[in-house]
Amino acid sequence: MVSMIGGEGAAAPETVVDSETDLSGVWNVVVLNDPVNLMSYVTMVFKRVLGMNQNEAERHMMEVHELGRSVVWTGYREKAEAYQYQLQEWHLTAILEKNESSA
Amino acid sequence: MNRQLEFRLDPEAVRPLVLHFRSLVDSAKDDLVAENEPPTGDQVMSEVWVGDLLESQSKDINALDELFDDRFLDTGRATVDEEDVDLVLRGCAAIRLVLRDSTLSRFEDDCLERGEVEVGKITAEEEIGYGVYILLASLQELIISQLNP
Repeated sequence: MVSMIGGEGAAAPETVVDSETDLSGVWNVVVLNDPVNLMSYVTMVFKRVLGMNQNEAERHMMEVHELGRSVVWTGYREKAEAYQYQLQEWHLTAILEKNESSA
Repeated sequence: MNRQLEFRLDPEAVRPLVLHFRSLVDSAKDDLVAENEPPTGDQVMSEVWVGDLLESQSKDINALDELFDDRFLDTGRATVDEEDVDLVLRGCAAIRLVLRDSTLSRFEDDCLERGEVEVGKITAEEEIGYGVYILLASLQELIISQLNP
């Protein structure tokens, strides 16, 4: 956020420019459960798309299976969208959520 | 050297499954098979996002359609080239999702997830649809097991 104050000594109007947009900050890539895709398939996709090792991929897969969702990646919006796209390309249900804890 | 994965099935047993599979191919042309949304409300970007995914989905399903060709109907034998493995895996996922919303739509998600469809208590069409559903899962398992020996 940038605050600009103009006019020395005068009752200057203050203009506040909010440089942050709704898309700024840190985002979570979340995979939601579906009843169709196999556990082995979901694990493989996590390894391929997100570069997880076998243990990480299985842990996130089980989280999706048991809790209905798992945050599989956290970071800046552009890369989050790229991961979301790739996961959707593999026919997993993937959404983005703003990471409120980083605000 | 390009690797190939070969599988063989009884052509008589597989014929009704392949014919049912073929009847589903066109239904996946216009809509995404998974419950997915673009990440933005921007209309232009959303159209590009969905358009690219539909194009990708179409390639996946075409790869599977080519695998289950007339030769497969006659012989029950098919081979997957290493370079097509991703397309075939995704094609299987796509058609299984189509089945969930079409032939198998009567069944609860829990029932499908646990594999608790009782074959003796379903219609002939559902039985064939469930056969395709299981065949595609088996193909995925086979490919994944070869990717991760």
